[in-house]
Amino acid sequence: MQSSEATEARQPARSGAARSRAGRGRLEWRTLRLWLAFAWLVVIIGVAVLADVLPFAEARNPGKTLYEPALATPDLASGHPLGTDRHGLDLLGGLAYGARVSLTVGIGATALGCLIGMLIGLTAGFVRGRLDAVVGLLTDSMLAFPPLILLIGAVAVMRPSVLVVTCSLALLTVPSYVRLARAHTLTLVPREFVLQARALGATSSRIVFKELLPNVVWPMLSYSIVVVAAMIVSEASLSYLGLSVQRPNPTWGNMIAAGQDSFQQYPHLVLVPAVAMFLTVLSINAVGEAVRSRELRNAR
Amino acid sequence: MRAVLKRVTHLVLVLWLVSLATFLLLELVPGDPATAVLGTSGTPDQYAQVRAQLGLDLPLHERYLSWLGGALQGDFGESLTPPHQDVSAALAARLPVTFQIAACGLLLALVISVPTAVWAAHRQGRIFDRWSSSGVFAVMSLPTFLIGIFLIQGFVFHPQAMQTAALLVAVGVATGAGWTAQRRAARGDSPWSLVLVAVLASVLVLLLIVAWPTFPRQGFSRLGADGGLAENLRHIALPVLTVALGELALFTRVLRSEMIQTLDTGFVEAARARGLPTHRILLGEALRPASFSLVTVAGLSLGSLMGGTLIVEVLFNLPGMGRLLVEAIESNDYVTVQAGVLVLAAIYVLLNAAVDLLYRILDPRIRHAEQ
Repeated sequence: MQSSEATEARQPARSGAARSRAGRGRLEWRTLRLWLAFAWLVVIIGVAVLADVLPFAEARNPGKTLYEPALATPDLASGHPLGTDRHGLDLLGGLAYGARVSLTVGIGATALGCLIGMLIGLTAGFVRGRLDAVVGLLTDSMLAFPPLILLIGAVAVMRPSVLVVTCSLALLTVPSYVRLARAHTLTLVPREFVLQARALGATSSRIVFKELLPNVVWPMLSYSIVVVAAMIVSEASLSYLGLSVQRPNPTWGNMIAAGQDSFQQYPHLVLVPAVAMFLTVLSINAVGEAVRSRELRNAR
Repeated sequence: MRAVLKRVTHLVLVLWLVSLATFLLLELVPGDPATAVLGTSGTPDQYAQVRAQLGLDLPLHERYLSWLGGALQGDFGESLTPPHQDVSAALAARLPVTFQIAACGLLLALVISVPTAVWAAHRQGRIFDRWSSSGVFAVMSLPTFLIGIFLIQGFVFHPQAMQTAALLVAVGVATGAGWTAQRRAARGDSPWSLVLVAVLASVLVLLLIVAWPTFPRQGFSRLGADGGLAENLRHIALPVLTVALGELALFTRVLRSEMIQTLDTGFVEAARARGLPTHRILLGEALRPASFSLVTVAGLSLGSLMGGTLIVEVLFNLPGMGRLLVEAIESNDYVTVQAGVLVLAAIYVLLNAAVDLLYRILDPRIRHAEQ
């Protein structure tokens, strides 16, 4: 890093020992942060998978909570550690089932979009010519549509469900994946190993799947981590607008929407799902950042 | 010249595809537009009459051509559901609201993120950089609707607490800047930039004490309405802040990383060797070549904000494009939906092209490579 050397050279006041100590401390904090992020993600994934087995109080059926306290404030010692909402539904349980929806939609939409976009981008970048031009036009047109409006249209036509939301969100990620995969393919095609494969008489499909695909997959996956976070936020926004899974089935977004009017009196109704979502998105972003910076370091 | 011609052809083709897709997508939507007009209680004759009125009995391509012809002349017909109004007029009433929110939000985001990013890049790895980067990272992980909910809680329901907090921050900045300026003066450096910061912060303190505006929970006041500019600004302040906080993270990150790379190049080193002052190096030398990605990102986000301020519009009950379209979708008013989507897509495409053009002006390398 030339620039940091230059800045430090102009300010020679700090002692070298102090700086290196500070540097080591920072490094440790960065590692710790990453581990915390991992830990949170493991917890949230575990809770989402095991939501049916874990001993949470009823969180989905208001018919079963007639004798539960409504609007209980968080109390770790009670049967409702994070409190209940106005129908007596348990917020901790809601968090778990909400995590299930968020993660399913986030990961599902990203995987689907990545798969479709990557295949199209690879083919377009490899074949070039007229197909490439058509694909370019189509992706540009898709990007021009206002995404939120499109989503609302899709959800309004079909009944809102996890599957519909996942597929619509996946469709929205396709164009950017196409562009990314195409750009990577263009840099790979003139490389020696592709030329070699051609010289050996490999078929086009073999070159695409055996030579190009393995090289394009990794950058796409590292980009995908950030996309998962974005998809979770999008799903939450849709839920918040009442366009995803419907109450009383809990999602983080619809829990916030249901609780926002009584934020003054019962802030936990909003804060519990909000903090869970914030920590999840933050953790995913932190992991994505770590992967990306490692990739940059390897590239150098 | 050939490149420009190619761009224009591409632009026209994309717009045409978008218009075709909008038209066809809404064809695929189940449900009869005649039911949207009449409700479910009409007689078969009435339905047939409405369909003929709307031209739904014509073949698909004829309807598309007549719709496109009307659209090109700015005539989108009448909305199907009450209040029956000219769709172009409805769009013209809603677009300025969304545009104002989006443009002001973007501007505010730039005003905050450019200085932050430049200074963070300059002090890479130091305290300011670490704190601002963490802050930006946190804001990036907050969805817009949460930011909005928290801002409403703070500014609308607990104005006193927010006023105190803002006062404390301003006083802190003023004293900090004043103190550092004094130390600098004692060392023999020029303290004037910091003195300026201190004075500005003090003025801000006075302003905050004298006039702390109350922010409305919801609603919009047009520029031409009674309150004029002041009322308008009071109404859009919170929505604009919400939009700005949502956009700011990306801007700061993009500019900071680009700026760090630029500060590492030979011509910046040369400027340092010539002994140019820091602000000349940062703003005069490095900012322009480092700003290309930011220009792209900001341009695209203005385009997507035109259709993407929906959440803010819902939160603050603003009469913008997003809510117009959602209401039209809910009432099956496909005429309005088609027109709105087409207009938004056209704005996005044109802004995209404008960014491309701006790129050419900003970056002499591209300009000269083509000539």
